[in-house]
Amino acid sequence: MNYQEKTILIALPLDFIIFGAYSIWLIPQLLNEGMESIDYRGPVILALVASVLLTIISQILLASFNHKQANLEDVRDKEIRRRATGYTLVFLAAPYLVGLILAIAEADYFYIVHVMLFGGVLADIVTSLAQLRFYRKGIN
Amino acid sequence: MKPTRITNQVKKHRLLASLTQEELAQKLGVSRQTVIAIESGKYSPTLETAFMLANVLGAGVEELFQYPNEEEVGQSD
Repeated sequence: MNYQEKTILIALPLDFIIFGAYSIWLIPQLLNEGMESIDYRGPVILALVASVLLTIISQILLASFNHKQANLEDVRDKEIRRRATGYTLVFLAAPYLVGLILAIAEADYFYIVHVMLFGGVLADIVTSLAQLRFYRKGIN
Repeated sequence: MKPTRITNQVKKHRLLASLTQEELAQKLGVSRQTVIAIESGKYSPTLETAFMLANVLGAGVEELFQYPNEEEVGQSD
């Protein structure tokens, strides 16, 4: 398994853990009290900051155990990243487009924030899974 | 995933050159996993990498990589 594949395998569970935890916090409140009473801003910022920080820390730790490979992204890695992003472009673009439409329609901030948040997370997950598939199955 | 019709003799020429996958990877500036992927036909390298491989292994690109012409494909089908 090469270095770039390891970085994906480490970052992917972090998405599930952080935004899974946020969902576990959010969904019961949404079902019981409705969105009006939820102060989601703090937890959303916390989830985003935690995601960035934990990703940086995990990458530093991974690099410290893989000195030789740490800065090596070769032509195959670049091609896999390019293809994965190309295949999942719709997942990357859709949340921002829907968020824009919701903003134009003057929808509640709750919807705009969560469409963009979960859309972005979903896009990240799908792109990572596509990259892992290309690493396993090959690209020609 | 569409299978490639490109076949290669990279492993044969690497062994003839007495190189390990790690040594070849270092000479090419790629990871060992990329060399493994090329040898197993899971990755068709870029033209530049193919020429680098040919230089390092002292072989022609056509010795390393083969692409069947239409007649050969027709016969095998």
